[in-house]
Amino acid sequence: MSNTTSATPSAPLRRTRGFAGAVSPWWILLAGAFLVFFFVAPIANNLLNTDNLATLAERNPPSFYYKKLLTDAYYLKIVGVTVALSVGVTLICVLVGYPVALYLVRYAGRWSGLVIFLLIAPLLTSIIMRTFGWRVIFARRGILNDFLLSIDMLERPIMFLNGPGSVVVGLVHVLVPFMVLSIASVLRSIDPQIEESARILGANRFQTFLRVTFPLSLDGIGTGFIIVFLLANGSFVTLLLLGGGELRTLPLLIYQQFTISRDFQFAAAMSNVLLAIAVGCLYLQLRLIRRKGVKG
Amino acid sequence: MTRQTRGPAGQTARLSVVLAAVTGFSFAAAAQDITVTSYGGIWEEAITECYAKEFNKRTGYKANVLIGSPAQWLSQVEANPDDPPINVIVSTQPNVLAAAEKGLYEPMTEENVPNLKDVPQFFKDAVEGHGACFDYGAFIIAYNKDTVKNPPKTTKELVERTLKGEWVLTMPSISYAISPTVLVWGFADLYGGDVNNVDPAFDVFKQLKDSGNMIAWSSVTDFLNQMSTGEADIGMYWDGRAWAFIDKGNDWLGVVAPEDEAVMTCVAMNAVKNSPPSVWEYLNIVFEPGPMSCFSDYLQYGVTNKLVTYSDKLKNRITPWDATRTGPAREIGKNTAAWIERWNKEIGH
Repeated sequence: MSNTTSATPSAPLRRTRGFAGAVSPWWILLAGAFLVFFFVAPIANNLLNTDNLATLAERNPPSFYYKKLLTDAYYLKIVGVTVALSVGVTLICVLVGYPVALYLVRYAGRWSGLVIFLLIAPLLTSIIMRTFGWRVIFARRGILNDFLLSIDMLERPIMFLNGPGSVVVGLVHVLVPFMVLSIASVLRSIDPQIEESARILGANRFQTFLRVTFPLSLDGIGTGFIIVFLLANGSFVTLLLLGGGELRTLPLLIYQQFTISRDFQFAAAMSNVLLAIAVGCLYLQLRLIRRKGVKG
Repeated sequence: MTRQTRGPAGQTARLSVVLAAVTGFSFAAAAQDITVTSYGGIWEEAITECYAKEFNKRTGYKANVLIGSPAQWLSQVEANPDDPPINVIVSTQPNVLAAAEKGLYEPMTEENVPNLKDVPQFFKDAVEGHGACFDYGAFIIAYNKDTVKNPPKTTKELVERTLKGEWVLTMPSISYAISPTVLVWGFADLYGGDVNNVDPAFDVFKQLKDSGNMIAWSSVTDFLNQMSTGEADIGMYWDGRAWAFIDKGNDWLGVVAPEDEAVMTCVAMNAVKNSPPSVWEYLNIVFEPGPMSCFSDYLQYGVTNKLVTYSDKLKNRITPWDATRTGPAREIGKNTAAWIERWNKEIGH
């Protein structure tokens, strides 16, 4: 007891050991069992799914669905669209979120609390309400069309909704706070004196940002990238409400199989492919971050 | 002994007996409580007010109303058929056939639901004798009176004038549960095909899609949102829900029952196996003229007991079932997965 509280150089290390020691192997076993029961087992069940649910449709073995998903040009395209949409939305979130995060950390000063509130406030409302708001704005006789018509920029209303554009806007709106907060937390940990040193050594503001601040914040971008990518990869409500079915991704097709066809085997195969895509992309991103990010 | 009985121990014993009696009674009551199902929105209100409350009044048991969709409810029952979490399922015709064949439903006859005797054979045949449909809706044309001054009289006219660009049409997305029936079978039948030849339907929808004048609605509320925000001028929708929307002060919405006969689908209610016996009382109430009339007043849908007398308001609104087209539920159910895949590939929404 006295050792852990004494102000010796090794005290923090001892405290760390004490914390590690406090985690009983039983807790680790419990956590492992939880994961096995609620994560690994359902996935294994999904992989081997040979359900016998009530349906009038013809049954097929699981391999039939994997073969279809991985060889049929239509489904390969859907897989491609799913990945492209997630990557595209994530990149836009980086472009939109980075300046906001930089402003929040370096320039907002006493307004930073307000900026964080403004960022988080939309998250307090339902995603459906936020998405529906875009529908009101983008509708053929909505606010945006009315405005453009009133200033004679349009002769007739444009269909902003029911396409990739409206989906991307909706997703970026929903997901950009996650990117901003991830980047801001890393930017905040960068010592401003490092940037000042670069300026003293002759770098202009842009060079300082490009060669000092930005590389040091790559970890934050990486974290934000992973969070936003994974959320976009599984997003469904925004696509359903703003895409009008024009933009089809795996989550939408999974929904169809569950609610209309009741073909759970096909849905299971799709969800496994989606999971594999997510894990694959996560692995690539982690490798990229480790390569480009700040070392120790 | 006497003293003991009169003392605290005796009081405790008596209390235990009373508690056992009370709790035993409440367990018995709870054992007869049931969980019934409903679609969302005004459906829930109608099911609660017309059926669940009536069930409670007559039996003293409670009918808990669960909101969702047939696919979800069936999955819940399939997960635990020996002790089902749901006792009465509302569902579409293909789902009734699939669930009944899987043995999830109790056989429903006039013996356990006497009011079935007043339901026309047509609505029993619609679910191949696995009970009967209790309500039905016609898929009609609804339009914005402000932007469509001269509405089409037939579905074919609706298609032709959409192709000419007279308006923006909204049709249900293929992800909507009834779309295989109303879109694929309905249009195939209208344009000379049938359940085994749905090419005519796909040809029509390809043209509509290529015209750029058609969008899709994903849920019944989505249709109303699209019409309210001006995203669409006209569309195909359920008659009852359209009238209910108009009655809420939206008199800018107009309704046309197409002369080339709307597609009709009906909804059945069935008792899940291993449910309490009180489900039969609930189902008998569902098919009884009084509560059915109440349900119809809420939803403005047609109901199936022939003894029901509609209010004056509803008389002219409800599409007579014998003036509609109905698809073969079993074949539609068998083909649904293939149609959805083809729709995804060829039409896209």
